[in-house]
Amino acid sequence: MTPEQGVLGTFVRPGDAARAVRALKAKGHRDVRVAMPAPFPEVVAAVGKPRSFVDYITLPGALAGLVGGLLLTILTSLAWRLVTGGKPIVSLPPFVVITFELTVLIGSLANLVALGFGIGRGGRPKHFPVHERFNGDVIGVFAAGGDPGSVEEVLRESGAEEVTRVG
Amino acid sequence: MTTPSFRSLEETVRATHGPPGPAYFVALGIAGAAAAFGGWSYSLIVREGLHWTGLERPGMWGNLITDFVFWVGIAHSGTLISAVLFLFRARFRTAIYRVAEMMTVFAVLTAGLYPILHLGRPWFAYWLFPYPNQRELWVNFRSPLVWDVFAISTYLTVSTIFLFVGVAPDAAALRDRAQGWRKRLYTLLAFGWRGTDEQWRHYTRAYLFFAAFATPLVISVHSVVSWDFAVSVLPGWHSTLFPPYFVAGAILSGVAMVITILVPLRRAFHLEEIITQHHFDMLSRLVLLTSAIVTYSYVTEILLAFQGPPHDPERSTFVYRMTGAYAPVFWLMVTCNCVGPTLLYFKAVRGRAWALLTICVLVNVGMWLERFNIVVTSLAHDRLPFDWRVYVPSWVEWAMTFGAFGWFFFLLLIGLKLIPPVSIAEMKEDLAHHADAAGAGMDHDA
Amino acid sequence: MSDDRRGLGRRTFLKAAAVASAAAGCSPKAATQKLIPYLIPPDEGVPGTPLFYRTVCRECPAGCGVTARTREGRAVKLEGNPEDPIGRGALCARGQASLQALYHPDRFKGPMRRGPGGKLAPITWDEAEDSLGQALVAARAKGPGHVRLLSRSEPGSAGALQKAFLRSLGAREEDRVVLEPFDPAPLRAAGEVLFGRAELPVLDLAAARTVVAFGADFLETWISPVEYARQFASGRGRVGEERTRLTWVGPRLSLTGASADGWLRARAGGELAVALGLLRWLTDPKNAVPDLAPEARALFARVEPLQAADLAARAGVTWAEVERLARELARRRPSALLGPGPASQGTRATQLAGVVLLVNLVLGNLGRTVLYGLDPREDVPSSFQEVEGLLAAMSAGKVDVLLVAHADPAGALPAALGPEAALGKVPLVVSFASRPDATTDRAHLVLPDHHTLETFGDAVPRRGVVNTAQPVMTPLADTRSASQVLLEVAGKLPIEAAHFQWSDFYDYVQARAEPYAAAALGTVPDLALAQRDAQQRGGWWFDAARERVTPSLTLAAAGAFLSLPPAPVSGGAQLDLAVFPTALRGDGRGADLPWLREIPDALSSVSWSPWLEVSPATAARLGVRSGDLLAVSTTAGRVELPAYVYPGIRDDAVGLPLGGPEALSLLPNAKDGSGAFAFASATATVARAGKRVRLPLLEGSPYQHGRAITQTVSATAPAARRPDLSHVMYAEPKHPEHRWAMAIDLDRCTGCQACVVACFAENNVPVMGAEAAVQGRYMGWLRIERYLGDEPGGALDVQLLPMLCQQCTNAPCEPVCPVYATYHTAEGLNAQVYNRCVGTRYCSNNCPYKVRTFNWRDAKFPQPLQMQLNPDVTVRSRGVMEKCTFCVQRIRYGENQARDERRPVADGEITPACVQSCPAQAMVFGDANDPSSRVSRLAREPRGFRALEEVNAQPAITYLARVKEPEQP
Repeated sequence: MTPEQGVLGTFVRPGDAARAVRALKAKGHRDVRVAMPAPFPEVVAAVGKPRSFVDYITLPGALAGLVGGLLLTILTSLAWRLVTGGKPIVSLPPFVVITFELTVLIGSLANLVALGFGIGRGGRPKHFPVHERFNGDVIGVFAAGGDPGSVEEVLRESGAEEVTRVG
Repeated sequence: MTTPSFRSLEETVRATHGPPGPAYFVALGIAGAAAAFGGWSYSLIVREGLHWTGLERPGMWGNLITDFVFWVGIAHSGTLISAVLFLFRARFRTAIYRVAEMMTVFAVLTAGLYPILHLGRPWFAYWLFPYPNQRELWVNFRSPLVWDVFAISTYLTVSTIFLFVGVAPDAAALRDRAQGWRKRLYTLLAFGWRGTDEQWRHYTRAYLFFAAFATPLVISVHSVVSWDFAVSVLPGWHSTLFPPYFVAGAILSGVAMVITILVPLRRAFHLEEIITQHHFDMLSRLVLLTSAIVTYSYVTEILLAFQGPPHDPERSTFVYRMTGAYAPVFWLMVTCNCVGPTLLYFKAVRGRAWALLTICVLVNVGMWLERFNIVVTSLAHDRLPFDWRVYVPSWVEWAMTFGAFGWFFFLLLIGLKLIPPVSIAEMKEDLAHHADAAGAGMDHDA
Repeated sequence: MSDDRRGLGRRTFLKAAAVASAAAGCSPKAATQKLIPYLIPPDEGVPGTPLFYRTVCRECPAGCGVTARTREGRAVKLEGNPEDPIGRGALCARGQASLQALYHPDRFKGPMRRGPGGKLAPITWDEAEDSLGQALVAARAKGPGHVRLLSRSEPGSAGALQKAFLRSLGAREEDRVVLEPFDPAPLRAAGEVLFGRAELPVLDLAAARTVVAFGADFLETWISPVEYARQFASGRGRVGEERTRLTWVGPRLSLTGASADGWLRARAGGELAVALGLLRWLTDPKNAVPDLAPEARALFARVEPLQAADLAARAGVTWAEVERLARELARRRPSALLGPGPASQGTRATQLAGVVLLVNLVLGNLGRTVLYGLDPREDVPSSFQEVEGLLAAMSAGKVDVLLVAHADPAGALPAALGPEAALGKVPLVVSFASRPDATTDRAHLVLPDHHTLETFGDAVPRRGVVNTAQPVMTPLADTRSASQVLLEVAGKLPIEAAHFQWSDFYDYVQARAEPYAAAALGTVPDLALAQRDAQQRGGWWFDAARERVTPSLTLAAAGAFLSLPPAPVSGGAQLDLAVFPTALRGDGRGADLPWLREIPDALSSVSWSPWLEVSPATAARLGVRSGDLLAVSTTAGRVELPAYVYPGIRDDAVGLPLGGPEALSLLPNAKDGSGAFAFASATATVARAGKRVRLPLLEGSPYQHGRAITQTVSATAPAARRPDLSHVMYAEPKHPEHRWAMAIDLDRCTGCQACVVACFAENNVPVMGAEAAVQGRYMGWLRIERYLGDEPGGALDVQLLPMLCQQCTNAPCEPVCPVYATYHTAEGLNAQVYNRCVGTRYCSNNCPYKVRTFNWRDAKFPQPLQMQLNPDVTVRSRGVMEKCTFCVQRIRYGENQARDERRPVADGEITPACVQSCPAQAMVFGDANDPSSRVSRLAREPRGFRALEEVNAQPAITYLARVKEPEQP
């Protein structure tokens, strides 16, 4: 499937890419997307998108683990009251250990699921033209829509290696 | 030029996945054989019972539990290096954390076997997991062994996720230039990775969370393992000192094992440019630090025991450790864990690969002995003198102990050929900064 | 076991007796068919309900009464008969283990004849009896003495029938030889010389305030150990003057000595000098001992010439020690001086016995604690002289037919007597043994006898006590009662005299019961009925007090005993060979019973192996540790034995347990004046053999290492030390109905191990063998922990601590189990659920008492031993942990009985096997919820303490501290 139309420029230096992104934004291009082999901070900063939604899945996951751990330990102990070592049926200190482990476990699993969504969402070919070297050694800057001419110009000025029109 | 380019970096890493040489197969063969023999020895126990071990009353735990604690300990530095150092933004972790994480996962896979292997009726091991059953019987959450079940399985899950999440971008990089089954494998491992800014955004966030989860987990897991002993009433086990003491010991043995693996790995895979002297230097300091903590724990433990009255069982246990039938174990342990690492104060020693390797191998021996010393001597010398007996491991237990090393290195050798032993993406990040700092360009095909 | 069970037994006994008596006579085929599961069960055999039969123990001449518990037609456990005046419900280790003789895998399956190939081949009973009959006729034709019978002591119908049988063959009285290796013949001989009564005195130790044992192990094997242990214990367990004190005299501290308050380390053979010293001091007018017997003055005249110094030198002790003991005897009356026993039966045993009796006499013990006139003299064992005579006749070829009934000349006689060669000279050796022994290896005809539990019979241990035997189950194999065989053979003989009017041994027993019935019941309308009633209760018991006599001393005879013993010969390289009997090995007739081999000796903790006790000094001199092989040589032979370093033996002696071939091959053929075999006569040279064996030892360290695990109290300090446990973290768990608890009186416990055997039998505890013992994998749920002192090299202070699951309230083993395999029940038991256990073994690691045993491998119960297994108790599989349950099955049984009868459980009604079996009644079991129960009262005693109490596991077992009074000057 072909991505929506726009202009793709490839950069070698993260600095150039960042500059290009900022320039495009200055020119009023809302939708500038980047693909890169590593999360170069300056580029990320230039793109400056809202926070990841991962937070909103991971935290509830962890809380679920916490509550689940408490319920599991307490309810199963009450289900059949077997006295061991003269200790109370509901002995919280040991239950805390289990609860903690479950918090971490469920939290991590939720985190993984969230990440899965994130990667899926950000990895749609429609979202960004496929180019193997973006995992290798170049940074791609893609400006969707807008006036192709001006975009090309901006990209070239910023020191793009090559510039191609997509779609 | 001083620093390799992205491309050459990838080449270096990809080269580690090149067709293995005879040495590799020899190593793989030895490891596999050891594991297989250990497995067969264990089958004796399954078929005829634990009388094949040297265990007896009062010493109902021996080599197998020692192995368990030892491997859990090894498993620790992996997460420590990748998660904790990540949170502390210690840059030197980048080049080495992948190997450490692989080591962690395989070590947990090894450690996790022993609680099952040492059971009298291992075919009922699943009874230790809480699941609804017609007996309407759940597990006893007061038992440290159940804490173990939860801690170990959580730790295995989280560290495995952590490893593979870290692998995804690298797998993508490799995927794009691989053919055949490797292409399919890396496509799978890449997890649909394309390196877009949105993916990176979620990724970095999630990675931070993983690190945040893993860090307390590391501390908790070995604390739980230490509670296996600390919550008992046995003199020599019953000590509040155990959790920090065990965690420090775990990190010591873990880091030592990382070095033990990295030194030959660096040579074999020609990673001299990536894994540099600087890394070994930092790791050596970590060994030095944890060794100091461990030494401190030994001393504290003994001093505390000697607070007791002259005939106090605990005091007697510690005297026994130092002078009794197991005294050689104790003093060898002290030599390996306390004396040996002090040599690392000297830069010259830290700089010599062979010296480093020797010291770290000895630390691993010492740490195994430490666990043996804790598990066995306390049991052999408990409260009722009439029951004292000296436990000597049987050949079956030794076979299983060495089998564990075989199994671990077998997994590691395979893993090294499938998973990039260095995090390409993070290396690139570093490189970029390096380059910018140097103001130099990155030519495509240097 | 509760009374109502016996009620059921009574109602149904007539049927049972009929069935069994029929079985005794009828064809073996029919007998074995009865073992096939019932299609229509008989009324008395309710599945799952035990039946109790009363019978008698024949493992030693004591003749204790037995209650056999049967399930589904199989005897599963032997306990004492509470109505029997001898055992009073207790039974010793060997008596209980005789159950394994019934189910012994090696038991002969039927009669056998040695074929031309020299192998025993099965034959039919008719063949066997015919060939025996022919041989007897032929031998008889040659005149008297050609048919001889060697038997164990059979004080009852069996013996009487043997005599009658021989008489009918025209044999002489002496043609029947009775072999009892441990028979205290010297005591009889001395009695004859002094009082003209060749009798064994019967003791009443309950009346004695001081007991002095001259090598007489009356708590292990001597004469009637169960009875004497009970009597002795009745004076223990209290603080102060009223407590019975025991002094042990001998070169080696025996298990009996371990219960003693003082040990006079007399050298081997020195006991005599000690006794003479006591006699001299006590009779000496200047010591002014009050109310002595009138003979004292005259006796003093005889002993005056004996110099204290000489006596002390002969005794190997200081005169002061002798004096101290003498003072105690003078002060604390009445007393009882016992001896000699096998350990002190030397070449002057009769003299020792005589002097001991004289001391008893002057102290006025005769008639009070030492009673004459009660020895039934039913079947007095022959002296070794007679045995030798028989062997000589055999060797000389003067014996054509030798009948051997439960005696094992080849295996039980010292090799020095050459019994095997003698047997070889006899054309026809007929053995009635039911298991292979050294004699059956040389027998030509083997006619396996029933086990006591399969046959009728009786035993008369003393006047007024006739314990009856009856079959408790159908015979396992094609065996036949030896007495029945004699009757049948006799019936087939072409001799008028041999045709008895009884064709069935049961009738014979009944016929002989007539006088007993008369004595017990007065008039006897129907003997048969009375006999059955007696058998149901387990015997005829009647007051024989009028038989008692106070013997009168013939002074002239006494003189013979009052000479100074010769100076000791041993010294230098020569060490005294102090052989001693043990509670488990006895005289060796149970040597092949798994329980008796598996259970460690209480003092040395050695199992499955003989051992040689050497003092630490000797060990140091020889440069050996426990487990090093020592070569022991006497004039009779040379044996290699593993050393066991034991501070409880003199440096000039080495100790060797009797009951095995080792001792027999080392003992030279020596006898004392009365013709009794002199066990304590040998000296030996001991040297390192250079080899080392892994000795199956239970003990780790025999010292308490200052941990005060056991405690002692005294009149000055009557309370045990208890830690302050006032700070509690958790409320004690609820015990709404019962809270089962136990109290163990360490002042009464003698370490006899009856409780251990009882536990093995009741709970299907497996026997794992020597290798397991070496590896420390002994499975016993109950062990006697024996401490020899506080620190190595310190003072010898033997303490016994029966260690079993303490059923803690805060059991450390429970919370560490991940699968709830062990937990605290509402009745306070620490339950162990075998089928939940996965075998993490953490519970054992966390048990401060280390009373949990793990099944390292699957246990084996070789056929037909598995028939002994208690159906009420699971047989544990490999990989699970097990431990003492306070015999929960017996608790449930008792509770159910009470519930069925709508009454509360009575205190003392429920007893775990160990408590039930204890001859000394040192163990008490009951409900701690009931403040008036015996166990609660004992738990409140000042002597009470708990093992490792500072751990705060709050055990349900309270130990009552041993009393240790400081020695009077």
